[in-house]
This record gives sequence, structure tokens and C-alpha cells, in this order.
Amino acid sequence: MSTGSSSEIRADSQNTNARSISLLHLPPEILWDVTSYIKPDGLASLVRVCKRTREICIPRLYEVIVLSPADLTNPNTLLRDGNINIRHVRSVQVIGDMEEAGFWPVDLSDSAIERVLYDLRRPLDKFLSYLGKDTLREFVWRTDLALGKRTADYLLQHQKKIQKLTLCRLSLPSTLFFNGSPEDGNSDSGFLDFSTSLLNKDGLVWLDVRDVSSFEGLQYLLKAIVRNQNTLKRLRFGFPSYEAHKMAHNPPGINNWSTKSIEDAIAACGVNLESTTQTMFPALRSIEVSDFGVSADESQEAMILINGAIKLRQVQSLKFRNCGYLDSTIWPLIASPLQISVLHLTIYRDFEVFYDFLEKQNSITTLSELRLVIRVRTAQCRFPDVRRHAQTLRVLYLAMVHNYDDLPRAAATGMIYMYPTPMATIHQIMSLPRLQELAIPFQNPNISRIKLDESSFPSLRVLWILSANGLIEPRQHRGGFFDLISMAPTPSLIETAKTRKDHLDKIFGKASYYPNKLEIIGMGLKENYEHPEDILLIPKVLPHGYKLRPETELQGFDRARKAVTALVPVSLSREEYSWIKIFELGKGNWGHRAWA
Amino acid sequence: MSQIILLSSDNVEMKVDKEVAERSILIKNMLEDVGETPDQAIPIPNVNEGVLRKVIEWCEHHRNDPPPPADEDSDSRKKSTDIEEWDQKFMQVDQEMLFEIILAANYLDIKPLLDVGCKTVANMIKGKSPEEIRKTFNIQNDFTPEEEDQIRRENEWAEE
Repeated sequence: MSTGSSSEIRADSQNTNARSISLLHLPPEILWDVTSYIKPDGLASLVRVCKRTREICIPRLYEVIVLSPADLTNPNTLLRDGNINIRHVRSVQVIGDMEEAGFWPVDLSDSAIERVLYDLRRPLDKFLSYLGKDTLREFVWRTDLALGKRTADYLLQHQKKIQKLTLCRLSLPSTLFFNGSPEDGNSDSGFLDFSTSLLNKDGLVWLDVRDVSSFEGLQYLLKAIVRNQNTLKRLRFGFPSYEAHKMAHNPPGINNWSTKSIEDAIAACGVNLESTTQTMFPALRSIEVSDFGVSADESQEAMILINGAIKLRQVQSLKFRNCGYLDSTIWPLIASPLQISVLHLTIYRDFEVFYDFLEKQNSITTLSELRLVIRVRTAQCRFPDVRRHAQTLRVLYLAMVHNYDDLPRAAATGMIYMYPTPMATIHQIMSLPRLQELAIPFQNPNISRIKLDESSFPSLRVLWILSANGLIEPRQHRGGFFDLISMAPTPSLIETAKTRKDHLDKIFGKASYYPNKLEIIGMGLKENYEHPEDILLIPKVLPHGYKLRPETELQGFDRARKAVTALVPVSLSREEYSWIKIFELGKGNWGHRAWA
Repeated sequence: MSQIILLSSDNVEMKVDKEVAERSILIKNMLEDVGETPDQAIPIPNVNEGVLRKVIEWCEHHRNDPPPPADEDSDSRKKSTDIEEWDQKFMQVDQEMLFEIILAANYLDIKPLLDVGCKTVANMIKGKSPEEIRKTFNIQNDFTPEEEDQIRRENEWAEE
């Protein structure tokens, strides 16, 4: 970037030192770094400050263009006419749902949806046509719009240097949605939009594909992974969640995920993992897999397959969410210390195997963030001891949930249990000097008190109090902590706030002793959400995913997801106690379920 | 614990735990090249005593922090501007010292400190109008009114 500028800097009247420096004296690479923390509206102000700031900020302002369906409905001047600065665009991201643009697919016929899609994609294609050839480095498609053939063809032919690719789906489980559009000249009913064709790209360093819901989609994905195995640094893929899956119409083959089919798909790409001597994926640093449900019997073989191909030693971020038994078997296979700083796991069995690994000296030397959901079948399982990571751990989400597969009654009534965190574990957590963010289910405040002060939690800044209607066993439920602070509001807001405050005082002591600037977030999760603990494993800003299509029984699930995404506070006491935030998943969207 | 001596640009020597000094990748690499703990002071020619003391104070506080991910491949425009409370207090200095710390962090290759400095500057810019930014950083407006109007119109999409 050029450093030349005609900007004048006034002499600082308060400092006559010849070495005095100001913002514009910083080297361009540092100013460039500063701009990475400023949002577009701030950058738009900064470009108007002087010629030097314009020079630095214009490439940053145009670097990433995020478009929502609403933007496509009502294109702004940039989309309509472009401008000379478009040459700086490196990433185009289409994010959001049709509903945000005022269209409700539930109410539209297939042909009307096709027309809407066509109208929404047209401004996008026009905007893309303004870009310079091979200037894009990233393309993100996280929307329920189907990716059109024209868009896909443009990206394949004119943007060959894309390194980061995010697709929210490879196919949809519903036949109701997204046939070919008029522009595509394809009116056949089909499950695939044209996202799949983008997987033919080479040189990807970042591949993020959500909701692979057909065997064909899996094969496309695996081919892309194998083709890009030398360059991939970050790999993320997921399948429709179990519940969504179960409730949707399963396409053929969807119930047959197995090691064998993975091997077949990889073999179809021309790779025999078992005979591969060379390390694959030499650059891979981050792996995230969700809702990949291999059976217990197949898991060992699958993990050997994966562990043989990937050197886990070099991985810095590992996230396995709702992957059945897949993750439990990985730990005995790891011989040397891991350099992982972020570890998100749902574990279903072999808890002690994992705990042994976690509690062993030098198993992981850099663990900074652990989000662990333990799905148990009996209450005999213990919580892990995380003190080994006291010097590095900053974020800890820890919850034990009853795996209700073996609980017909609970499944029938939609109840699942979340076990209160034992006091011994809480005391261990209190010895973590660097812990900044903690999420655990708390016990009944009548049973135990926790001193929430600087000496107990010296670095704590965010405390998530987890619970849900139904997650605490009924006997304890009535006194459950979350119930006390999320109680139905009384006619007086002040009284409601005061009652909540009293309950917080009761369990944690006086607020005046809390660590400075502590934020308390109560998170209530409805009992009939399939994986309520998912929220622990998904970072704060939940991704836009596609939404399941309008079959009646899916609407509740759909709305609940949206409610989680929105995280609408239901606390009425924000004015009085701004540091207490109460969230409740899907409030108002689910019918009240009486306790059996 | 072994200690080393750092020599500031104004010739002031400071004894520092080696582990603390090694938060600086520049110093760490230098020590690795030498192979043993040097008896002589290591010159830090671009950093004066006051700034070097501040940098060492930061390194002391963060001596046990885990190393930052080597390859942070996240979206360059979605970075969080959250700053730990201690770091916020640490950065409550006059603008000149703030920029000196940033330059020192850059020179000494202490990326987490550089990040904190850049975030601090970004937070000083956020939510301000162009005129307020000029006033905050003492910057002269060198646009003509026509130029400024043209730039505003060109980029108004970002303000919506």
C-alpha cells in the first residue's frame, strides 16, 4: 500500500517534542491492522477524514461485501451501479433468509418461489459482473436462496482464485423446495442447487459446507476435500441434525453413513487411505464436524481411517458436535502432546478414556477454550477435572445431559435431564486463575452457595447460568436456580427485578463483591429441543443455516432455531440490573408442557 | 529463573526474566541464535526507557498466556474489539505513549500487545463522525468540499 499522502498533521500544541507521533505517523501496515477492527459504517467515516485515511481505508471498506436478501430486494447504489472502488472487493458473502427480504416461502407456490429467486439473484449477478477477473478470494453462500447456475458458472469461469468457500448446504432434504429456475432452463424437480458445482475448485484453503444431506453430496464433498488436501487449512462440514433428519424425508442412502461408504467415496476420488504412506492434509489446522452419526461399531475403524490421514498434532482447533461415538475413540490413538487451543466436544461413551487424556500431564499444553457436553445414560459418570489446564484455560462450557435414547418416558414427554454441576467440580473451576467465561448448570441454591467474588473467580467476566424446563430432575426442579431468576414477572417490574436480585444474592452473595464488570447470562433451554446443549458448542453468534422447509411439524423446530439465533432477552429488569440477562430458547413458540 | 538485560535506546539497562522477555519473538529468536543466556545487555535501539518499561510490564502480566494461534485465518473484518480489563487499564495512557507502545510491539514482534494497541485505537474511532475523528487525533481535513461530498456519496451504502 502506498504511504504517500499530502495530509498535513498539525503540530501538537501540547507537545513540542520532536519525536512526537500521532495516528498518521503509524506505518501503513499498522493502520491497516487498526482498520480490521472497524465496521463498515466506521470505515465510511474514516475515509472522509483526510486523504491519507481514505487511501488506507478504501481497500478495507470494499474488501468484504456482505449482502442480505433484503439488499438484493432493494439494491443500493453500489449494487446497482458499482463504482471504481469495487476493484478492491476480495470477498462476497450472501447471508440471510428469504424471510428477511419479506418473502415467506411457506405461503408461496413453487413457481412463485422460482420467480422470487430469479428476481433476487439478478442484482447479485449484475454486481458480480462489475468485479475484476480473478480478484475474489472468498465466496460465502449462507442463505436459503438457491445458488443459480449463472452465478456458479461466473464463479467457476471468472473467479479462479477463490481460496475460501462456504456453502450452507449441498442439497436439501425436502422435495418442496428449489427446483431449477427459469434462468437455468431447468424445471426438473431436484434436491441440488448449483452450490455443488463450486466444489470443483482447486487451491481451497478454507472449506465450510453445512448440511450434506445425500450420499451424492457427501461424494462431492469428499472429492473436494481430497482434491484440496494439500492446501486446506480449515475444514468444516456438517450433516442435518439428527432431529431435523429424522423428521424430514430422508433421501435414499441417508441412513447408511458408514465407514464403508466413506471409504468408497474416498476411493472414488482415487485415494486409498490404507496404503497412503504420505501424510495428507499437511496444512490442516482446524477441523469442525457436526451431526455425523456413525454407529459405535463403526467408530473405531472410522477414527483409525481419519487419524491415519491427519496429523492431529498440528491441529489447533478441533470441534466434534453431535458426532455419535466418533470422538470417543480418538483419544487412545493420540501419542504425543496436542497443540489444540480450542476443543469442542459432545461425548457419548468412554468418558474415562477422554478424562484420562484431558487430565494427563502434557496431553494438551495450550488448551484455551473447552466446550464439553457429556451425554450420559446413568448418573454414575463423573465430571472431568480441568485443573491441569489452569494456566491456559479461559473459556469453559461444561454440561452433563442425560442421553435420553434409553429413556422412553423422557423421550415421550420431551424431558431430558441436565445434571447440576457438583460442588467439587465448581471448587476445581474456582482454582482456574485465568478463566474469563464460564457456562455450567447450577445447583439448587437452597443446597449450596457459591461465593462469586474476585478471590474465587479472579478473571471471570461472563457467567452463563444454564438450565431448562425439564433439564433438572423434577424433584429438584421447583427450586431450580434458573426457575427462580426467570420466574414469571409480577405486575411490578421493580418487584420482579428485586426478587431476581434477591435470588442471585442468595446463591452468589452480594453483587458488590462480584468480579468487576461481570456479566451474568441466564440461559433457559426448552425441554423439547433435540440437542439443547448444542448452544454450548456453538459460538455466541450462531450461523445462518438454511431453514427446514414448510412441513408443519418442522415449523416449531425452525422457529426455535431462529429464537436461539436472535437470543431475545426476556428479562424485564434490564434497566435496574443491566448485568443480568435472561434468555429463554424459543419462548412463546413452543406450547407449555405440563410436568408429568 | 535466568534473567537477561535489555538496553533501551536512551541507554538504560533493565533486568528481565528471560521468560518474560521471550514474549517478544524478536528477542526470543535473538536468544535462540545466540544459544545461551548472554551476559551483555541486548540493545533495543528503537524503544526508549519509558516505553520499554511499559512493554515489560505488559509482558510480565501476560507471561503465562498461551501462545496465540500461529495461523489465525479468520475473516479479517470480523475481529472482536473486546479488550481484557487489565489491558484496558494498561492502555489508559496519552496518545503519544499509546502509539509508542504500538510501534514497540511491532518492532519487538509481540503480536498480542500489538493487537491490544490496534483495538484501543479502533475503539477510539468507532462511532465518531469524520470531524470528531479529526478532533480526536488532531488531523487536518485536506479535502475540498466537493471532494468530501463525492466521497460521502460514493460510500454512503456502507452507512445504511
